[in-house]
Amino acid sequence: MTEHFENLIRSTLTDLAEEAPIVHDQLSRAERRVRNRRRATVTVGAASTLAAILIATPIALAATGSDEPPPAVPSPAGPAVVPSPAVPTPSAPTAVPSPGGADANPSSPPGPPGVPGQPTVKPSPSSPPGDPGNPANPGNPGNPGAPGAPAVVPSPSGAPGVPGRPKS
Amino acid sequence: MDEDERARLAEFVGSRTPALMRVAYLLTGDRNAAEDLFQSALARTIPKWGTIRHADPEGYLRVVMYREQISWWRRLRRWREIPLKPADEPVGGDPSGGSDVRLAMRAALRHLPPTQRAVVVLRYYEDLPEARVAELLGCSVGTVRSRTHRAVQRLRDLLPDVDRLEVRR
Repeated sequence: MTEHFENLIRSTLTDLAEEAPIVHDQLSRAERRVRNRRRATVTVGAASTLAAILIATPIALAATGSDEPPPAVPSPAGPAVVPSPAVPTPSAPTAVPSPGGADANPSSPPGPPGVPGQPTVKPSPSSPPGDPGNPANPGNPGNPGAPGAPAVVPSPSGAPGVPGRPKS
Repeated sequence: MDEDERARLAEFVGSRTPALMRVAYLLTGDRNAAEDLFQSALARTIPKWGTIRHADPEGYLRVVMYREQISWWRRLRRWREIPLKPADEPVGGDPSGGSDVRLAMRAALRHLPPTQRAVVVLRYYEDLPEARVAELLGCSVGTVRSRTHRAVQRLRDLLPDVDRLEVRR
């Protein structure tokens, strides 16, 4: 029964195949189809590339801009940094030796702001003169203006600097 | 492609077109669809002609036709109901001897889906073994067997009176 049915399928297919259409000049039509397909492929590729560029460019620009800090936004508390003049603190007064050997009271008003203190001690006329040195050469009393190498560092206690001893 | 190559291609196409068109017609069941299928397969073969001309160009073209016919994209693009012609309508008994059975079988073959129809053509028209059919269609032997079984079963379902028609003949 199965064999008979399969033979029927075979004979029917054979008869049907004889009715196939007779065509001519299939090569030129196929070549035209190849050209159209190639042209369509190129067109679709170009359109895809253009679309990718158009989509990716804004995304890339947005990604690049996000690396920068965000723009400043004024806060209700006011500006964060207000430039102000330097306020000297009592912890670092500038000791300026006075001729009278004034005390360096930390409570005394500090010097004007912004003026660095002179750590070096300036000789004053009231300071004791240097060693007269050699009596044989009284004309060379020593250099009273040259302070010692280690400058006196002003201390918070306000002790005035001691003038350097003139070298003999 | 130079002139020599194109002349060989033209000779191949001219000599093998009738046989290939018969297969295309059996696969599609429609004259226009058969021509379209053959041209589509030929268009896919032409760019490869330089590499397949020394091997088996006809086999390559046949494989392209088989797979093109059962491809999902082609079915999506070309899907349409094949209208039944008046000759395809179920027929009654015909005392002329066998033509009624064959006409009924022809009408039943048109109702097979492309995959089952391709298997039937390869198995019963090309007389290819199951392994070769599986190789050509790019599927397993078990798939070929199941498709063949379903196709024959569907043909039997579409032709319930085939035994009666055979007896009457």
